[in-house]
Amino acid sequence: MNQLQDKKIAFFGKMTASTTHEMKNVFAIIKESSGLMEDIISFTNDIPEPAKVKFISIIGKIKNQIERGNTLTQRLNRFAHSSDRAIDDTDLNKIVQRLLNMSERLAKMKNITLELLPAADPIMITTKLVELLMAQFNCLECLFDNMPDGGKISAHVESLDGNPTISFQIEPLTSDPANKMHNFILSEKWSELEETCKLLNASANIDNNKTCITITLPEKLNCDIQ
Amino acid sequence: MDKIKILLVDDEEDFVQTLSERIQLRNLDAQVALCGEAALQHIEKDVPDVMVLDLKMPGIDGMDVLSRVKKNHPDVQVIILTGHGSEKDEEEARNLGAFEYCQKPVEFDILVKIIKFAYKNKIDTNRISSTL
Repeated sequence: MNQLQDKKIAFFGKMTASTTHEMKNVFAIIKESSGLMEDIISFTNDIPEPAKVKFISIIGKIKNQIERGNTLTQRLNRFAHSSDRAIDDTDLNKIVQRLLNMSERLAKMKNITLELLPAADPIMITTKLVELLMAQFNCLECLFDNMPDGGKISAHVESLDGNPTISFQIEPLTSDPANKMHNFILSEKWSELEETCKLLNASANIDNNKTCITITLPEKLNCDIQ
Repeated sequence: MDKIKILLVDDEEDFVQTLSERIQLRNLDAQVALCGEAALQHIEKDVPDVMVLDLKMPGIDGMDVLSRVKKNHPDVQVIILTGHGSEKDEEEARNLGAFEYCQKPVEFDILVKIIKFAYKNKIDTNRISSTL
């Protein structure tokens, strides 16, 4: 992608990151306000017990949703910051986790669980973070389209022969995995994946069982790659 | 123990006023400043023991406030409480003398504990200085 494309992406990232910072403040206000309600309830003797119990239950729900909102906002914030620089250093475990976090909702719509099987140690790479996130998402899209609802996709991060790799494995196997996996090689999404991998100087391959897509990356992206 | 004097500095008025109320319910003294300039003016009249300081504020930002406070009132223990922060911000804040660096939203009970630790740090530091 050229410099203008990178700037476009960085613009979206900056705006999103800025808004997520404000959302953190919103959640902080709601959290403290619900905390103050709890304080007042516990320090006040005049409230009838059934009402007290009800208030505390409702405040509990508010607090749970604050945690949920805060987690989502943090995830979006980290995702948005992926575009801060066109090429950057990252731990492969972390960026795979970032993508899985952002894809959770989409997977849930198909009752699919996403699981990270991280490498034991950090695997540091220098690459185009946005394009790497896209490539991972392309893999997931290919798999989503070609497995039944339910089941799991495991993302296995490791270094194979010195090359950082991410392998997306579907479980359980489909009734006809070979045919389904062959079908999506011909699909638009596979073409997108191949195109994105070119930008990363990476390769995408399917295993012999046709149930696993592996992205193999260089440890350090050549800056001349556009 | 004397009542700990706390100055809360944040441009989010709803947040900082609510935080102040909760702190006061726990028998601690909490005052509020809604910007860096107001915080620095407040300190000249009434020096707090502990300051809870946001980083990103209109006008003078938190890092600048931290720097000036530690220069002119090194005894004041400053706790950064921010919705923005990065690792780089945290490193810079600690290098400038921040006692602790926390991300919003923070668990209130944890914040109170940190405030009390910060106050204890101030007392212990003053005690050591006076014996030298």
